This record gives sequence, C-alpha cells and structure tokens, in this order.
Amino acid sequence: MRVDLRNARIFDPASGIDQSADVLLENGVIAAIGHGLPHGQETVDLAGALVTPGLCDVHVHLREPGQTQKEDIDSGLRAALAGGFTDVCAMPNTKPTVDEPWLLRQVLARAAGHPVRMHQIAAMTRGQAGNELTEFGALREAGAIAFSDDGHGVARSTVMRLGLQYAQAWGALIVSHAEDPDLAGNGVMHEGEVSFRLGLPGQPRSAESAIVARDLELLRDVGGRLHVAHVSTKETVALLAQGRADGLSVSAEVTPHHLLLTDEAVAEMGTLAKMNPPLRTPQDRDALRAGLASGLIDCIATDHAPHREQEKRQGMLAAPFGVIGLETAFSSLYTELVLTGCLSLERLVTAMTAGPRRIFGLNPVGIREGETARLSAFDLSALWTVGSGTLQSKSTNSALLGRTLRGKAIGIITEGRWHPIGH
Amino acid sequence: MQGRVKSPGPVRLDRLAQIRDLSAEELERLLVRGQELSEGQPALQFRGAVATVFYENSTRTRNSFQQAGRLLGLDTLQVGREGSSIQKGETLEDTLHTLRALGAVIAAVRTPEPGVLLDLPDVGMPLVNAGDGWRQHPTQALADLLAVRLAGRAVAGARVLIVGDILHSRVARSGNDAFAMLGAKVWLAGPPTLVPQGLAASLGAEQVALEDGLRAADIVMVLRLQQERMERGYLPSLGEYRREWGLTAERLALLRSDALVLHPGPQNRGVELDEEVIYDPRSLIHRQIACGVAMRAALMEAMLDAR
Repeated sequence: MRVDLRNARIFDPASGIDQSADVLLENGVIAAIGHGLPHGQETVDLAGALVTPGLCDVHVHLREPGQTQKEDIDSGLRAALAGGFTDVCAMPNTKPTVDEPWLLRQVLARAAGHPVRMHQIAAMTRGQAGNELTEFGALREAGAIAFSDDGHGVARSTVMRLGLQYAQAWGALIVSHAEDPDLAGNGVMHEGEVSFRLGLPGQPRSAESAIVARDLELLRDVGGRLHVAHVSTKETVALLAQGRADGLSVSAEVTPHHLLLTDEAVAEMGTLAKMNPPLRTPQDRDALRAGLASGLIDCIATDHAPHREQEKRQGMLAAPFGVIGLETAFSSLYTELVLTGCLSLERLVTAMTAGPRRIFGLNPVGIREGETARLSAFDLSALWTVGSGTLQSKSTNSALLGRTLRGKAIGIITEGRWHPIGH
Repeated sequence: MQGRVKSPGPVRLDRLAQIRDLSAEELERLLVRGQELSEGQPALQFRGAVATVFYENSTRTRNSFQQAGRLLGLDTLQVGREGSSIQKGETLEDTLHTLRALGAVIAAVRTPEPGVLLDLPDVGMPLVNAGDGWRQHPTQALADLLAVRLAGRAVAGARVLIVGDILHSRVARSGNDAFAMLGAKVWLAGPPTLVPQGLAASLGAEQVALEDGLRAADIVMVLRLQQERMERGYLPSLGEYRREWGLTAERLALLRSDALVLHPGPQNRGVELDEEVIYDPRSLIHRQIACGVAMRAALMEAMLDAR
C-alpha cells in the first residue's frame, strides 16, 4: 500500500526539519520526502497543512470499564483523533481499577484496531488504595507503560518510597499525582483570594508542593524514575528545577488548562473550572509557561476527564473534578500561546510529541526516510468555536466552551493509512 | 429618600443571590421601606404563599421569612431536609417548580452549596438566598443595616469591625459587602486560622488587631463560633477563643460609648460574647430579629410588586 501526501509543511523539531514537501509512504514507512514523487494508490492533498510527528497525550481518563456513561474507549479515541493525537496513555482509575494483568489485557484489547493507539498505565497500588504495590512485573508483561495512583495522592511516604524502589527492577516510571489528601481536605478550588471571596473551601498550594518536595527527597534517597503529573504551582516548578539541577531522574507534565486559565475562571464558569489540581493564580500560570518554554516541563498532557452534564450541574461542592481536553489541546495552545508569541511552535510540538514519548519509553517518531510513519496534520488557518456540537467526546465539560480557536487537526497517519477527521 | 410613599418604588429584582445584586440606591430604598414597615405602615398585600426551602437547619431565619410573608398576606409552604424530596433525588429546580404549582409566589432558599441561585434557571417566581454555605446571607445583612439605621446612625463613613470566624461566615461576607456598598470601612479580626492571610484583602477589607478595632469601631459585629471549628482543629478550645477573641465584659469597656454591637444569633454566651454584652445599651442584638422580619417583608414586597 502506497500513500502520498502532497503539499505538506513538514515540521519535526527533533529532526530539525521545517520545509514544504511531499511525503511518500510505503506500507507504513516513510519511503521518500521531496518534490515530484510518484503517486501511490491514495493521494492526499494537504494544501499546506502542518505535518508533525504524531501527538502523544500521556494522561487521559477514558472511563472504561465502569463509567461508560461519561466516556468509553471508542468515544475517547475518537476524541483523541479529532484533536490530532496518534497515541494516548490511559490512566488506571477506572471501575474497577486497572491493577491486574488480565484486566489490563482486556482494556488494551478493547482499543485494538482503532487508528489512535491507546497505551495503558497501571495502578501503582492495589485498588489505588495507597497501601500494597501491584505486580509491576506481570503488569509490564501485559503492556503497562508506567505505574500511577493518579486521581489520588499517595498519602503514605513509605508506599511511595517502596514504589520508586521496586520499579527499578524494570527501569519503570512512577507517575505521581502530587496531592497531600490531608492538606487538600475538602477543597474544591485553589485556596486564595478568589476562594475567600466566593466562600468556597480551598486547596492550599502546599497540598501539591509539599508532596513534590517529599517525592524528590525519596528519589534522592532511593533512586528511581519519577514523573510529576499535572504540575500546577510555581513552587512545584522551582522544586523541579532544583531536582533537575541535582541530577534526579524527574520529569513533569502540564495541562492546557493550567497554562491558559486561573482561579478567576471559577467565578466566571463555576464547575466547568473545577479540576484537580485546581486552577491557580496568574503567577503560577506564568511560572508554568516559563517552565514549559525552557524545557524544564517536558510535556503537555490533557488530563482529559469527561463528566456528564448533570454531574457538573450539581454545584461547586458536589460536582466532580475535571475537564475534557483532547479535542482542544493543540488548537487552544496554538491560538493562545504560539500566536501570541508566548511559546514557540517548536516547543509546543516537541512537548506534545518527542517529550512525552521519551519519558514514557514509547518509540520515537521522526519524519525521516526509513521511519515508521505516525503523523498528525493541522490546518493552521482553520477557525472554529468550541461547542458541544463540535466535540466527539461523550461529555462536553470543556473549560473552553465558546472560545474561538485557530488551527484544527485534519487527519493522522497511523498503520500506513490516512485517517481524515470529519468536520 | 424620605416621604410617605406607599409603593416600595422601582426596585426591579427577581432574584437576590448576593448583596451585590442590589445597587446602593436600591439598598437605600429597601431600608427606607423596611423602616416604614417596622413603624407599622401597612404592606402591600399579595395572594399565594412564601415557600421556605431549607436544606440546612434554621429556626430564626425560616420563621422570619414566614412572618414577613404574613405581613404581605402570604401563606407559608415549607420544605426541609428531613423527609424532603431532595433525598429522593429531586433537584432544587424540580422542588421549586412543585412549590410554585402548589401556590408559592416567592421562595427563600438555604443550601449548604454556595452560589446555587446564581446558576439556577428561572422557575417562574422570585427567589431569595437565605444562606448558601460560606458565601452569602444577604437578608441578614439587610437586617443589620436596618438595625443601625433605626439606632439613628449613618453607615457612610462608619468603621465596622467584624470579629470571629470570617473564613466560614456567610454573614461576614454579605455584611462586609453591604456595609462597604454604603460607604463604611470594614475591619476584620479573629484567629489567624479563621482569618488567614489574604482573606481581608480579597473582601476589600482590612485586618486589624482585635483591641485596636474595638477601641475605634463605630459598629462591632460579633460572629457566632461554630462548635465544628474545634473538631476540625482550627482552635484548641472554646475557653481560649473567649480569652483571645471573645467580646468579654472587660473588652466591652474598650468600646466607645456610642458604639453599636451586632450579632446574627443565636449567641454562644461565654464564648464569642459574654452575657453582659447582650444586655448592654449599645447592643442591637434583640432589635436585629424584628429588623429581619421588616427587611424580608420590604424585599419580598418589592420583588412581588415588580413581577
């Protein structure tokens, strides 16, 4: 099977390429990049679209098994496709928790055959209860790419310490949802001027940074590889910088919503701005942007967390935490950070492609002759408005509803085929 | 502003979720009307019922809304937490539609969830926030303003000291907004666990040391201390609270002779204030309750008349 892509703007920071060219694919491998290439059985005219290595999101909640009224693997992967992702990593806090090899195999099997590949992160502790480690060896053999109790903080320091130690038998990655559940308490937003004014219980910034500091000290103590999920505070950014300077094996991700919004959004949007960790202050947002720009924060991950409208309608105290993000991640960051000059397109693409793949041990994807093709294509001139009618996810709990964004994914190349995105 | 107007005037308001839903002018107009009603002027009469929907316990606020409704010729309907449909999964919106079908023409709503009335769609009748979590209790603020007015005191330029658990207090938030809107300067004092750094600034108020505030204040609002704060570890004991932040008989002596003392009730005697404070001539505590009925009547009259 030969496919030729015409009139692409090939953009691959890892290979140092930014050029207009055609691409010829043969059985899923990039056979040639250049001009005047022969036609394949299928010709796709990209009309100047940006073609990047396939986007990879290392933090999504697809809700299957157990909460398929919110999302399921099929709808979640369709949402990923619509956002231009070729790879996503599902978190294990489903019902039941993905903490056993048989269940992990079953979940992966449900995703087989979809254009977007789903990788699975396994629970670090049984039932994500924070007490006993899961069978890292057997879970890895079943396909687990990392271990995490995401959704909950690991309260017991000994358990986190043992997890970081035990994972070293396989060089495995521990993903930390850094939250001290005692400090976070019943907080539903960032504790600060806005929560005081609104009369809402807050989560102090130290609920995150105290655990990041602890985990870095554990890393210093026993070694291991730590990835800090959804960084939200400037203190965490400073701790990461110190950890890196000290040579610790620590990486981090940031979400589009923490890069774009602040706790003022709670006053404006209510529960559509309720997420965990919470939206913080403008100073935190700016520190996250700087950390992403400098490369201290390695990757962008959406923490895509679908919830039904009636659940989100319950009010700030009762509504669940989380927002969806797969379908708006690239477009919103391109519009609000790249086009405004806050972030280079190169950093945006790297943090959504090579950065996450390197940390999570996924095959690197370059746009070079001889490489397997996993590509994403974007029409950077497209203008669209985020609305429930434009979304593939089963849920519409986006914090960006109503925003007009520039740039939209038009298709991906995986398994040797062009998968166009219908609009 | 003065005058013997029978109609409450053009206070066009269909929902009172927070004090700032009112303009300063509307606030003044309601106070004028509240004063008239408290002096025995007849209220406009309406048909139907006032519904009290209280998902949190309350005796005085519920009764106050019901008494205010009676002044306006309204029957009463009530829904509480126990045995109510909310436990069968009925939403607040459904409950309000049901009450309207039963004859309610206005409803007072108390919920533990802050901001519920901000997002609720129209239910075909005016709604009044009767307390939403830590957020707002606007009719308590109206009552307090009327108590000060009936004492013959101006709010503009006054220094108002609010003492106690500001963090968890809807009375403090709505009181702060109401006094500030009418030109008062608001000071806050209390234990740092309950008046954390940044809280005063977020409310546009100023944090002061208790005794400095007591010496200079024109109006002192003492907040009720919830027993729950001890259980959650905010305070080591009630005794220590009284010693450090209570309005004791000794601290009462620091107050200016023309100061006024408010408390939203019910009081924990010997905790946030001593018995002597309640019966001191500077205390408006007993008048606040009657002011609550007059202001709730003035508010509901304006809302129903506008419909």
